Amino acid sequence: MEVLIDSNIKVGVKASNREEIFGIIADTAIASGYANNKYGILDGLKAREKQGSTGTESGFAIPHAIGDAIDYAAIVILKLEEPIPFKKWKTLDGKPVDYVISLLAPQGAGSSHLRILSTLSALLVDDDFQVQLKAKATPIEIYKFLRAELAKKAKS
Amino acid sequence: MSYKIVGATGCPTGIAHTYMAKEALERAAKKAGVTIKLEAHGQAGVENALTPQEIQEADIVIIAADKDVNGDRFAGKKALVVPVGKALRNPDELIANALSGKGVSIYKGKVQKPSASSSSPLEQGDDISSSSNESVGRQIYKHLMNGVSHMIPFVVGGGVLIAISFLFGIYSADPSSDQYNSFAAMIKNIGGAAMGLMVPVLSAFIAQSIAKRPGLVVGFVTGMIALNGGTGFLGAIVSGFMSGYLILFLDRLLKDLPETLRGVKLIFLFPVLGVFIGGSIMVFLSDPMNGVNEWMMKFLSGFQESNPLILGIIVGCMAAFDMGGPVNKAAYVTGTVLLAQGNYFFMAGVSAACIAPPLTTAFAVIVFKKYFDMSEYNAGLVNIILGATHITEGAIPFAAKDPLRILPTFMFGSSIAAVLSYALQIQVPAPHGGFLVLPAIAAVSHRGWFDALLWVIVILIGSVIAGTILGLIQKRRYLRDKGIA
Repeated sequence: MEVLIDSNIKVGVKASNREEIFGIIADTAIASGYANNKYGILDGLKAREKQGSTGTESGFAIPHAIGDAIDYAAIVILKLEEPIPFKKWKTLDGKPVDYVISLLAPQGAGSSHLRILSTLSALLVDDDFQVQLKAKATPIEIYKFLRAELAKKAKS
Repeated sequence: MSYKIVGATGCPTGIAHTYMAKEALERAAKKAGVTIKLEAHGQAGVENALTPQEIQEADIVIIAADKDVNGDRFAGKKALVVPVGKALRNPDELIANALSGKGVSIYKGKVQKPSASSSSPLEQGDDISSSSNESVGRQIYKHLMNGVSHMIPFVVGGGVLIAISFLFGIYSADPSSDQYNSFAAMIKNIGGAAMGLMVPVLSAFIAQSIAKRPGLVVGFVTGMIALNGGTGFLGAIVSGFMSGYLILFLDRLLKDLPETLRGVKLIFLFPVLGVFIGGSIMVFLSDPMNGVNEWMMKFLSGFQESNPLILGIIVGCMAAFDMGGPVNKAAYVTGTVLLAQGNYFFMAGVSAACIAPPLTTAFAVIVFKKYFDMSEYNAGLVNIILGATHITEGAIPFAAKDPLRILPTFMFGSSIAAVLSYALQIQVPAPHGGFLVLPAIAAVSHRGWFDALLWVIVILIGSVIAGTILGLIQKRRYLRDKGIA
């Protein structure tokens, strides 16, 4: 299974809090066949959040989880219609979350799959990358952009 | 080459922040014009590992980690130790501080131990120590859901094959019937095998959720005993929890075993002791099941001639109570015995009560779609087929995840269907087949097809009422889960 597929990318997502977003992440991964147990995923994401918020900068958040509830490593991307207020999802720079990039991996995932997740994480540090990613409007545009960027980064 | 700065990044999950911190620090170092080499302590292990020489030659160490990054190697070096988030937030400041010496101290040893420590002697996947601090109710629900999610494909695959075999005639798998068709008999057998596995699989994956792989083994075996012992899916829930906690108990008992015997514990002691003890307990528990079954049949025979309301409630509750377990079977077998004696009324109620639960779930997932998981939604749709062919088991995954609330809901719906069936004096001359026997109902009934239609309607009434309740229960759970901060 490919780690990045366009059907795991949603734009215009409506959600009013973090828990709702986690539900959408889990449903998306299950619907596309990457995971099996919604509650397992929710628990994993919430447990990670308890150790420290995964909200980063410029509206991005990267909730992630590893566990048996997940069958294949996956990237689930939700572009939100309305940002989640800072008090509901803490971020490093205090800006509200409007772009969620969720990384999911099964227990004992293969290193090539984990590499894709870590490469994407590293890309997210780049301001230019953030701006370009946010400019992409449709799932297929986001998918193509990320594929190209991941390939570029993997070579460097 | 040698680096001015060396260091390590790491976070407990090891798939995101570890690498973001590494990237951020590398960029900041480049901007400041200094050389840096950072190890990433991620899920896949240590990447970009430092050599002792590189550590030796570096001027300063930066450790940005929320877990142990094997810090002993840096002892005696000048070091800056920060949480991983700090490296993400202010990488430039961190590099500047490292260069200017602000906040730098001589490193003594390890950074703070992470909460999810690696002290467990078990391998990944075998690690059965539970680090969770969730409420008991929620943990139980999580274990049940793990069993249910693995069980659903068996119910769907097996159930649909059995349903297809009925299309060849409801007696098509019986060699002595003139409807006999060898292909139909074969797919009914295959379907039966898949359906039969549902009980052990439920047990096994409840146990796996509690105690990982060692639990899985014991859960499968005790689930098989539950199946053979005729305890149905309720027995599987009991055996699953029993097996999981048994392994946790054994693990505690064996905790003083020397590290060198760890392998023996995993591949020998857990399976042998676990299967023996768990198996014995389950044999002991399922032994009385035949007695329960016989007692229920005697109990039921005493009510055969009572009024439709009482008989309907009893039959409805029995049929939906354990769906294939001893109580359900008591009602069903009584129905087939009476059928052989020419009483077609009794079976009509039993059948209606058996068909209602799967249709209840179908109605619930369709009307309350957004509150159900995708897998449950799909299973609910398949239950239209399973319900229409009298395969009650389709409803089991829904009941298994929350038996205390959902079984009474099914019992209520089945009772309504059975009571109405008896009150309207509907006759059903076949022991299974569901809506495929409607022509036979029309043939034996003096009101003809009207009765067949009436029978469908009473089942739908029970299903819609119970389905509404089921949907509301699910909605409440969904909203409550969402509210957890």
